Amino acid sequence: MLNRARAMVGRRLLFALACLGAFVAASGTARAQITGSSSGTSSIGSGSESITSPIPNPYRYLTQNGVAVNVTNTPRPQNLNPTGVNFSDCEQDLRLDFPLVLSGFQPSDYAHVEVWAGTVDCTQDANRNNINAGVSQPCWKVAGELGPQNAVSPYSLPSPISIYVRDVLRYEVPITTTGQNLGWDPNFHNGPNGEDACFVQTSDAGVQLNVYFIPVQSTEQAIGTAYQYPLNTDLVAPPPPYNVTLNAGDSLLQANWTTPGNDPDIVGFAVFADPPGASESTGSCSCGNSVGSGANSYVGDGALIVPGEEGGACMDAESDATEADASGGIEASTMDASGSGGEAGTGSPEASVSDASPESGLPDAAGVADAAAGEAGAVGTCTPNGITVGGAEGGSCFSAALENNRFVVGGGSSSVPITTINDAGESVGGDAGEALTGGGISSINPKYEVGEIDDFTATQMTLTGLTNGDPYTVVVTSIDGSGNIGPTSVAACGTPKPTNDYWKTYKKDDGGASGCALESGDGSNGQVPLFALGLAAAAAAFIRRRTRR
Amino acid sequence: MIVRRVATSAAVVATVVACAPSALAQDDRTDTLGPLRHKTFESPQNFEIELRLSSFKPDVDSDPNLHGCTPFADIFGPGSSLMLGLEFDWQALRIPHVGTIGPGAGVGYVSFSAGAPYSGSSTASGGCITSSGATSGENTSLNIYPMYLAGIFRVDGPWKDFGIPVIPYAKLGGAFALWQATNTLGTSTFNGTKGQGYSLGTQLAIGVAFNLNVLDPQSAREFDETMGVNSTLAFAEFTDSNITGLGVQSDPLRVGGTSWTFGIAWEF
Repeated sequence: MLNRARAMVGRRLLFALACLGAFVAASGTARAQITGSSSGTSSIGSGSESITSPIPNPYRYLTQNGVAVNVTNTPRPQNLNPTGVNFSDCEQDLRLDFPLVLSGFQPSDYAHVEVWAGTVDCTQDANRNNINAGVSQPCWKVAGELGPQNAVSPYSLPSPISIYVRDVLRYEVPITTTGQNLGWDPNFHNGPNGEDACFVQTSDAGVQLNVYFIPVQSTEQAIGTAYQYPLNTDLVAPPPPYNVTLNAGDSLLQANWTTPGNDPDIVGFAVFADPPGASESTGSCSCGNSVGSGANSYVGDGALIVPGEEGGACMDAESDATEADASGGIEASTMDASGSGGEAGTGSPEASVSDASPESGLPDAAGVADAAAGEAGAVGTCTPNGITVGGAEGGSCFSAALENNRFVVGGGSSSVPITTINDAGESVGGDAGEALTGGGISSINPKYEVGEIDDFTATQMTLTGLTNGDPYTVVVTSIDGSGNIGPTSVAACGTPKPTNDYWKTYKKDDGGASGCALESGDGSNGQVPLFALGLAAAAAAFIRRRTRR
Repeated sequence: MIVRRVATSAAVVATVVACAPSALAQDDRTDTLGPLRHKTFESPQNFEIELRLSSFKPDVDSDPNLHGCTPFADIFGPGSSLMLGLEFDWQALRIPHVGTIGPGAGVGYVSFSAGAPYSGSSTASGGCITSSGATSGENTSLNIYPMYLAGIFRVDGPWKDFGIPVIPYAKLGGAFALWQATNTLGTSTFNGTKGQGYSLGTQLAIGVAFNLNVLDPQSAREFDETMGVNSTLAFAEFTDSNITGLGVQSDPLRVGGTSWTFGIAWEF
């Protein structure tokens, strides 16, 4: 009997141990299990704590002239990622305000709210906690913690939680934590390095980051149901088209270009033109008076205009090239007449520009003789209020008309410096930047935009309403699905000139026809051809005859 | 036995002889379709529709006001362009054993396009603006929409009576053409005058059609039975469109011309 009792106890003990083990295993699995849903909640397992938001998208505020402006009700068009983040949003220190509703926060759980961002599930404790130095930590904090909450019943926070996208973008990729402080810095977004976050992306493909509002216990373990918000970010535009040429007509210019290959990020193109005569549109290079096929021809995989330091060399860099001269600036490497890569510079800035080959009608920069045919053409000087872009045969000038606009170049890593040109054409802030890989960004005053075409297959645009005899400088950029404007193409110059179309030629030759003011517009389409009426009558007769038979 | 055989044979012969006239008589008496039994069915024929193609060049440079200048040739070159057209005819009156007479209406479209030369490259020579040097990136066009209303005489009697598939015809009537000169920005203008209008004239054509039914009579019959199309024809036609104002307009744009036209037609 005793043996039977012992056996019974033993079996019960084993059963209890098995149940306990199963319970522990199940709990661990439940905690690690994330059932994230597209609706914005992630169930972490046990715990009644829940965080939700009453609105599908947060309020949006851009910093303009130092003031936060609510742009929630003035979004971008639907086809331009209106709830996402583009480069301009980041530049303007976009702030997202999340109104939140808390519920089920038991006082005994002493749970507080943490805000994290990352490309992986940040409700997983392992993704938030720096377990070992040197281990990649894929999530980072993007806001201060909200202290322990006692809200069993649904409770709307009195103020929304503000998230700055620069804090979200700061560590876009998993971080190797080698003693790095990952604590949230409330002064980062508007500090001297805050703008670095806008250059963290290196390719023109978008990146989806997720922001998590997580109930966390005092043991730093997540509990309950987190609120998850997906944030589509795209900070890099595609590379520009190339082979930009201008065909002049009567008060018009027809811009033609070659699309930069099969880049799925391209949704269209924008064309910018600088009319001459503006006070800021001078320079040592003047646009030529004749532009034909062959001028400004350039074959490459995209050129990025990277102005160098004043007095130094301007270069048009390959978008996949990285060059630096001995002084830390940009090598005077340009495209030669044949369009292939140019020679490296000597490290000291070129002081002058020369064409690769003389081009009639396109004067060189002052004081410089043409290079012999076949030699690499150097780039020109950056002069106040003008940026010279060399490299293309004959050299083309782009009068940047920098009125509170600039060309911004950066990329590669957050530490890559930015080259900025101010209204005076002077480089401010940072060294000349590295050439981007796969794309870039331009910030150009919108007033110079003369047209935009939302067709990624487009290769042509006609600029009308121009003044005959006035030279124009035109650049073309690619635009992506988030509204980013990419780096500019090599500039092309053209001058509209009067033409003799057929009607003008006929009348100048004393042709007698006087035309007719047909009120229907183009006349021909307003008249119903007699035959069409006859055809309709015949069809009716035919149908009637067939019916009778 | 022999007698029986002879008698049987005679009875058979007598029966056949006796029955045959009756059968024929019966045939005569009761077969209402007898005269037509072996004739092909044909639906009524009243209309014709044509698809027309021609290589066309307008006589715009024949304007006497041009004094020998040739702006059309200077801009668009010496070549012609393809004109597409449609015509619908009503074969209102049939003259037995001869053919049909009736009205017809047609419409077409032809366009000429080229790059416009720069004014700076044009020089006056003998009063004419001639172009030299590179053309601009601007496009200039002349679009013409000719229309006509004509009487048509078609000699298809030989086809109807003897199955000869060649059908000559002639057309004579009035022409009306819309035209529009354009550039990249739309309708051209010069000194306030718009480059669009209309011109009047006459239309004359002589042609011959070949009835394609002879190539596949069975299909032709089926086409008639199912769709009511009596004949399918291929035709060639010499057309003279003399659009010089018809005495009503003083200086029309002379967008008429002579051309050879080819196409396909269906009678139904």
